[in-house]
Amino acid sequence: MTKVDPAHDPAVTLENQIPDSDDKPRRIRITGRGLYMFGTVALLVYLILGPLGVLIFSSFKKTEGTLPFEAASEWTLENYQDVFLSTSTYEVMGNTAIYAAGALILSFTIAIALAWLVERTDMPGRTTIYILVIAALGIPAVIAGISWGLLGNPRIGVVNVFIRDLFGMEGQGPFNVFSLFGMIVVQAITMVPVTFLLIAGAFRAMDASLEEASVVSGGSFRQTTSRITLPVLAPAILSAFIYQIVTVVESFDIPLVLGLRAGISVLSTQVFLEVIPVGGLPNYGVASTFSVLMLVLALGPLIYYQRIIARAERYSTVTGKDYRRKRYSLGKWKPLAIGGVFVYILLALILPLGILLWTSLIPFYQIPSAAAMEMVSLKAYREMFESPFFLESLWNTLAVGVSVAIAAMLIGMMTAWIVVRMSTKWSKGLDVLAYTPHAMPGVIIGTSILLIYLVFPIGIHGTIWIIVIALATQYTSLSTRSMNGSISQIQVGLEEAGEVSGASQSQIFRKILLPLIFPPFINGMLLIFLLAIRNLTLALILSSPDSVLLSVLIFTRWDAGQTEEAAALGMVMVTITLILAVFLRRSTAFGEPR
Amino acid sequence: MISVSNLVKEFEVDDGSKVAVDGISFDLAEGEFFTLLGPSGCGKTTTLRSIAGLEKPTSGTISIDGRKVFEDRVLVPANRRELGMVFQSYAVWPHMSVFDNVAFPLTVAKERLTKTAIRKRVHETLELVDLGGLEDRMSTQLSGGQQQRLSVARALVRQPKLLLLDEPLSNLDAKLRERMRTELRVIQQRVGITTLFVTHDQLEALSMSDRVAVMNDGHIEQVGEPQEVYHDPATAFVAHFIGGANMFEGVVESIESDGSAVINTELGPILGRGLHGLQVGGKAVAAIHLEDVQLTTDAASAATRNNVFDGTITLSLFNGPSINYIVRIGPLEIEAQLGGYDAYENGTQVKVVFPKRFIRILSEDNAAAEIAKEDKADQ
Ligand SMILES: Nc1ncnc2c1ncn2[C@@H]1O[C@H](COP(=O)(O)OP(=O)(O)O)[C@@H](O)[C@H]1O
Ligand SMILES: [Mg+2]
Repeated sequence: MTKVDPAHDPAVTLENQIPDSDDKPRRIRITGRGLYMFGTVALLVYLILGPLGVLIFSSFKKTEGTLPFEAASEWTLENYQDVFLSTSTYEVMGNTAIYAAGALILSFTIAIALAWLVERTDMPGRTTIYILVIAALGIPAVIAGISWGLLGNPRIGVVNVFIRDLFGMEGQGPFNVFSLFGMIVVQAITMVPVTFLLIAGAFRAMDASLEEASVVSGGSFRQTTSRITLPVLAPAILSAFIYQIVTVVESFDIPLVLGLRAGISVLSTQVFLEVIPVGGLPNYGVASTFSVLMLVLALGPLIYYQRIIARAERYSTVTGKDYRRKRYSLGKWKPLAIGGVFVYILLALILPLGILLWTSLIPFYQIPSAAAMEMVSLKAYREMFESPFFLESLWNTLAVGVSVAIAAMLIGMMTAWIVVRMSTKWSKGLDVLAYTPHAMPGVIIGTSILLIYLVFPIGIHGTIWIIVIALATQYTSLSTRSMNGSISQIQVGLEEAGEVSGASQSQIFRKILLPLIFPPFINGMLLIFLLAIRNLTLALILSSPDSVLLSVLIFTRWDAGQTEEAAALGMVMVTITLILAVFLRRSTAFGEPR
Repeated sequence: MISVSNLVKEFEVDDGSKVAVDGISFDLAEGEFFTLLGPSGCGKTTTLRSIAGLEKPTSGTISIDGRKVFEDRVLVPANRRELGMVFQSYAVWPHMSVFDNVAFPLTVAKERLTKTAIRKRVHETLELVDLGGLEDRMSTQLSGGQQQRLSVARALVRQPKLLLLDEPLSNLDAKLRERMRTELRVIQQRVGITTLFVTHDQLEALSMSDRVAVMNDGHIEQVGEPQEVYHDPATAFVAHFIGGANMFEGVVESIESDGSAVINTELGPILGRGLHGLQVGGKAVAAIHLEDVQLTTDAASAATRNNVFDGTITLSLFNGPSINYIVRIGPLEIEAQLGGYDAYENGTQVKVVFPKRFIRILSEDNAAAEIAKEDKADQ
């Protein structure tokens, strides 16, 4: 029930960790441990504080036509003046606010409804729904954007044509996906799986007798829901909400694919446009200033988040032992619930995948019809396989995915080990440090790493390794969080039992801890592999013609109007990511009551 | 006060259905403390939840205070049954203060009390359970025992006619459990509320209740006052479950007109009181509580009595007020409990006496056969 705070657990103090009876001299052991800790901390500081420092540094440098580190670049406040005095900044911030709020509210409404139906009611097909919702994680945002660009095109989008035919309407519309509204809806749909994973665990873990106690006290369904269920779940929902604020502020793919065509910029695309402008030279100083602004916006909720987590844990300690799952009977609402879930699955999975497949099979885009069926061909796929770019990008993508998964999980495990098991005065600070990348939007990490390795002479600029470093930095928070959970679930007693049985520290690690950590470690690797290969933000900022990734190739084909090539490439990507998503077990980073 | 008759509850499970409650009936008198006692999984909680309205029975009738709350076409929802319930997990709401937890039933009621009346009532109820002065604490800051009392206060605050308690003491540690046993009973008697209590702990059942219903596998084996079910078990299951008696299987040899009977067991004939529909030649068991077994080294005085066997002490366990002995008699081992002063050494040859008035001879049912099997497996 109550978790032992390692900081107050006498069993984890320095003295107990180092058995005096050990044959090695004590001094060396402490040094080894110190080296391990020093190495981990140094790595984290380099990976995380390095980019942050560079950003802040660059934001005070004049960089028109120069790099921030060049001697020609002067110290200046001009970037801040440019950013804060320009009206377009406030327009971009306004867009970002509306976009973020809309997508958050919509995705949480859908995810809460799904979590409640799956975890608390007698909804038929619950397991299938669960799997389908998670499977939607396998549709990368860039592909969701492209698919909805095809579905929701005001002139020729399938959804619009269908609705126009149904109601005998003329002209364009009724929907235009290239709009703030369209971006919000598509972004919300792509955020549902993670939101669902973040909150479903709390719905599942909630002691049903809390609600039953309300009912036998005379509370009606509405009184019980509003005064017991939602307040009890509030910390979990709120902490998921704050986690997702960062996600939506940093989200880049959908604003890029759908927003720019409509001339709508949000902060992430604004930074991107400064770094990789359509015409002209990059202005790293202004980009850095925008990044600092974004960081401040994302960091606020994060600090609050730490407090919420503490409260959520306090709540979770009171669930009793004897709770039986009694599910609400949906009764006459069942058809409505089934209909609602079907519409979500249609919008999140069936339509995007359907249009992608269809587009990849037709030489030039048109509405699905019997006449069009005759044009179906595998031409796009044939050309894809013949293109040297494709195989190279596929190979690069897999290499990046595997490297990032291994690197991020190793860093995460090393960090989590210190945070959970070695109580020193800075293990708490290390936890916060490892969490910071989550508050650093992808474009920021991308920009700052680009800046670092432009000047740092280790020759990885323009290779896939710079992308690996950037992605590993970004996913360090996820891996640390998930390993924190896994390691703290292993009772200290198990290690002590090993110690008492005469095992050395390294034997304890190999024979007891490694086998216990292995399953969550592999699962974390799967998740990070999945996220890494679908990532567009960092890949686009950091890739060069020599380090093209699948996601970049998809976007550039789409951007160049080569829709069917983009669709065929998208099908390859989705095949990989969907399989991964289905194999993904419940991750300790998500959902598991902590 | 409550009347339950022919209550049946089947659960849909993956492979068909599972009968959790198999046609049970009982009545509670006004102000009575009535306990459902039985092993885990015998259907106690399901029965209690059916009465609370949290579970819809398959068939039967339930009425509370003269009002039918369940019958063919009647199903009064849980929030209209006006009773108090204490959950095994306490179900204390973590986001509310102590005051808000207790006030909740009053604030959701159809007829609202005024703020001051609610304040007064909550205060009185908290005083009753000895939590006075803790109103403003967050409920999560209470200890386990206090949370338990808080949930009792919440159940009582509406002054319901009926209080339901589902294993309320099982999550407490041993010391606290003992104290709360007394305290709960004192509160119940002070308020005079009709109480249905569910437990698997025979000590709780015997010490707290006016009457006990011993349940087994979805049905009731026996209803009676604590002394009655302890000393005069109606079935072999009850004899075994309550007080963990020594049991000897055998065949009934004779039944006397004064109610005594002789049963032929592995140890030889045993004379005792025949209790339940015995038939000569039928299978039966003889049961005797551990503390009723007598041990003596005085062969001469033992010779004058019935049911005397030669035994050897194989193990003794001192537990304060008494000593438990394992005694080997021929092929069997029995257990005896004696006062804690005169200890026998291991290996001591003793005469084991089963006084006739403490031996109950019961016709054997399936449950007893199962228990005998289990015991064999244990050895
Ligand atoms: N919701 C349920 N679904 C299926 N079987 C159940 C359910 N609730 C209880 N049971 C089964 O009914 C039997 C009685 O359970 P319960 O009333 O909880 O027993 P007790 O409280 O005496 O331990 C058990 O075998 C249990 O597994
Ligand atoms: Mg129970």
